[in-house]
Amino acid sequence: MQGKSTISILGALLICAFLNLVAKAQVAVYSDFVGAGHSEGISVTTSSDHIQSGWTRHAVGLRTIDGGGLDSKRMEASRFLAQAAFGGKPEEIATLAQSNDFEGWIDWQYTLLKTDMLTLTNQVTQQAKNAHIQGGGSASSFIANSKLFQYAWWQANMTKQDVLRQRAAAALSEIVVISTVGNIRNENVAYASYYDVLMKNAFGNYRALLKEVALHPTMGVYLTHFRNPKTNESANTFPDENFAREILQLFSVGLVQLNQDGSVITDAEGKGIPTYTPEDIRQLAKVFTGLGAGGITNEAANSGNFVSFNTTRNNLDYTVPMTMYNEQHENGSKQIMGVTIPSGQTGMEDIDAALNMIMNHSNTAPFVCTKLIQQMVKSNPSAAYVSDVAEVFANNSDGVKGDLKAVIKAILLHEEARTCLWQTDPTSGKLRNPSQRYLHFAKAMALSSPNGAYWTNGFAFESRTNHLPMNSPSVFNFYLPEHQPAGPIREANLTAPEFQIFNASTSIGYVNEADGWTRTGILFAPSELAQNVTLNKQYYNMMASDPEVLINHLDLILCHGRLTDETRQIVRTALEGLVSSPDNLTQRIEMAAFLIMISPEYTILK
Amino acid sequence: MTPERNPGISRRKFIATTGCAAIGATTLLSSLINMKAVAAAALDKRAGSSDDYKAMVCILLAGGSDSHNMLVPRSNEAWQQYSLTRANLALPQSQILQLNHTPLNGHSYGVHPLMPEVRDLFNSGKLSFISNVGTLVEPITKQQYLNNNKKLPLGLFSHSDQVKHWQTGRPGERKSYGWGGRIADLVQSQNQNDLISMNISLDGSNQFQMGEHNVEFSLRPTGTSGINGYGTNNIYHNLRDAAINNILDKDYQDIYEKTYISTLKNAKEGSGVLQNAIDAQGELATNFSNTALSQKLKMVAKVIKARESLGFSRQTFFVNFAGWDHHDDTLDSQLAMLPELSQGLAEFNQALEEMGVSTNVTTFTISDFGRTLTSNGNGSDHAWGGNMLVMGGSVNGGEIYGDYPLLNISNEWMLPRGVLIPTTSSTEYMSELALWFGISPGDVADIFPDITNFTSNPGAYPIGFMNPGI
Repeated sequence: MQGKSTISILGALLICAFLNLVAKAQVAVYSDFVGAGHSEGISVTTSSDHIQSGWTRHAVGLRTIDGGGLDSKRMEASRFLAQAAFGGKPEEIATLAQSNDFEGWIDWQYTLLKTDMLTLTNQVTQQAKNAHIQGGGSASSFIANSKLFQYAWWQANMTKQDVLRQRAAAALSEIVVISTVGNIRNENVAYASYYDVLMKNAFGNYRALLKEVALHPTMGVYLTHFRNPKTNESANTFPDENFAREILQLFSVGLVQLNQDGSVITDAEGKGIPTYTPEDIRQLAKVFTGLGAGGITNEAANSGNFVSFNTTRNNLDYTVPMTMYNEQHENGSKQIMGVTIPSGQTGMEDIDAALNMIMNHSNTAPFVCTKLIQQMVKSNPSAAYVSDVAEVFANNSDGVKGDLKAVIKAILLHEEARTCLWQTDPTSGKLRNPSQRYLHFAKAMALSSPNGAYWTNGFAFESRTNHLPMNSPSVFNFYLPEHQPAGPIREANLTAPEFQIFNASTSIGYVNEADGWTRTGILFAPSELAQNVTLNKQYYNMMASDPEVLINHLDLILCHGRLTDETRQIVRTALEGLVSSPDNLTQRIEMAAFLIMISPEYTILK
Repeated sequence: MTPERNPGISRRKFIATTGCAAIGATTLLSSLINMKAVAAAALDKRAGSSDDYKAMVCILLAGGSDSHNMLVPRSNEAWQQYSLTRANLALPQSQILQLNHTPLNGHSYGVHPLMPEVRDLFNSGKLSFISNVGTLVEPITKQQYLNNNKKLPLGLFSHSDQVKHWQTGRPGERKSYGWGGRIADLVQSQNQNDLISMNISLDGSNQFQMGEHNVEFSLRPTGTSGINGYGTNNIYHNLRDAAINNILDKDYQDIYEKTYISTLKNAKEGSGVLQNAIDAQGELATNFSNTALSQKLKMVAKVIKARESLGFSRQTFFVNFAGWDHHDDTLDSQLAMLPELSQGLAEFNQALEEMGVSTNVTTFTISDFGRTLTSNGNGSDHAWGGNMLVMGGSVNGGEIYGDYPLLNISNEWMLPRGVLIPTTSSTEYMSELALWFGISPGDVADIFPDITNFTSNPGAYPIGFMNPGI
């Protein structure tokens, strides 16, 4: 035991000295450290080798030499997974810490098959329907509404391996927004099909994403360019401007001209220069005329309807892309933001030309990259960070613009996402959104899941926290990228989007959700199923017998080692107040998980 | 280092002081200013009493209400122009409910057929409209707009900018704080309650109530709740409560951690006090509909009822009634939503009368923008000037203020696509409410710096819809 400790302390000393040195020089770190990769052929025996069932970590001497036993690597891996995924399970953290190869992990994720959300949603729907009927409900009283997509979203995020793609898709879902709040038919596949567009193109190209978004019937209904006819002078009607405006303002270029580092280009008076005029919007609105149904529902077809421009959204099949009805498309040339789209083109050619214009606009790279960084890593990326990522967006080194794989990699491997220096900067980080706090906890903890169904409709959660995937109040998402809460963030003229939904009501609401997940221990409780998914408190009994061990474990998987000595002491005091007994071991895990979940070391991602 | 049972302990402790944490935070940013202390130093504390109570209730019709179908031209010529321009969005003349008002430029107006409650409130002198009001930095004509030689609100026709301008009162800038928040910065100290903000929101953070120092207190239509289990007297909860308080009382250097904790701490301390005061008042006799808006207004009424026990003499309330961005299905959507507004207002007015505070409370609407008068097929798009309503015993009721231009497409105030240039500024509208609330002319000019572009006398009510009587 004595020997083991000595080795590990010595190792830690050297490593930390190395890290400090490198971090201060602000170059990429973690390429190597003492012991890492140099353990082959070395056998280590020590009296401190200690393996205990029920523990996720064991004290084995070799780990000290190969680096696998060092907490700093696990913490770094945990931190990385909190940004690149919604956190990791202890074994995922351990595996990544062992390889210590974040780029390799990203490349591995790029090879994984995409979870098909439409398929999964249909599977979940069928399961839920079966359970509903088994529970005495009638088939006709089962409605395949958006709740079932929500079930599938949690099922995918809880169980599927393509975690980076899902993390990126969730980020995109807060940029290229659709929502159940609006006029989309309350139907599971409308959302699943759209989400597949996000999932697919998260590892594709931003232009392809925008095109599939523009043609998707769910977006068409949400932003009302579905069945948007050309100008009709005699009826005094004009093209709908909704999608044209928001694709520019929210999905691509934004309101004011930007430098490549994301800063605003200002005029002589110090004010931003608008990227487009009302006339540009009216012109672009003409481009998005003529799109109508690409398919109709079986029910509609069976009633004798057929697909046409006049197909209403009630009969629309949301899983089939919209079709261009050229006779309803506004002919003539369009002048948009200095670019001429010539007359005589088909509607689709007009749309392609408009998307080219958008992709060629100098704002698109810094605008989109800033939003992605804000989603995945931090609220206030430096100019250098935005600039570095925007450069990759503009050209992935093979001359391709908008390659999101390259962009995601650039975001996650950037020193500003990785180094200790940036992590400990008091202005660097973000508030995790409520769903992220929920999902990370659920993923990281040991659960009892009798039926493997990680389903929640999220209704109660959303009412308490004002957040739920695909449920934002409008296309402006749950929060604006420029939101400045009162206090030190605004005083520093910085932003913190997620704080826009963090207030006297939702802050307590989240604490009470955490209370439910820990004290009651229910994580998922779908109404169709008799059994819930619960926190497996017994799993932690061994750890809970020693508060320090339990705190260490939760700190690693939830806070990637960010718990301060003070917070650790606060939690330890509470745990030690419960004398060790079987009942109290359960109470200790409830207590520790709750306190750490409400501590800012968990809610703030740094 | 002492050997431990678990190898993680000594190592963990060591790394905690030599790894990332050791590089450490060095910048101590200024802490969240205690707004109560600031305000208290600036103004004398005056006792709150029911005589000296004033509240403003802001109802945001988020998304940009198509308010030309709420307050509708009804007399022949005005309706014909309206009908020609609106085409398939026009309401039939015969269905428009009559308002008894002094004709405006010879024309008369009515309300949407499903707003009989608003008609009755108007005709009984409890409600007025302000017509064609919108964000302006300075007065502007069509020619000046086309020549681009006047200052314009930033981000015209953009939701996020226009809804912000209505809440900040500074359309020439993109500011974080709102005019209700600035007012709270000035008058919070008049309230005896320094635990709960005078700005109460039923819809969370909002720009209207965000001050430089004062932050809104949010509650839900069902009220507010404390931390579950908190205060339960057993060993477990005693330990947990102590730990919660120790986490909340710690000093944090990180700006996000500090903001997170200060919000949570304020919520924890205020929520119990607020809910207890509300519960102690008992129910209102007035029945509220089971709609989202009515339930929010019911909670506003309950907080007002508890004003004395809470020690409030000045309050603002924020209620968001969202879903007005009707690019599609305008007529059908309005059939569903305008009755909710109409009924909610009537019920709220009844509750205020029940409590005897209708002259103390003024309720008003804001919305991102008016919408295009011309149709996009079966909806309307983002535009500019629109119509707002104001309700309360201190409102000079039964009138339509401002200039409601004729809606012919060739009108001198009409831009392409039927975008109406505002003839009254939101700054005038909101300044008048602030003056009624008791804000000094100097402070009003400070909060709404553009007001001097519209009036040379910021102390006078710019529009005249409010009665300064109380």
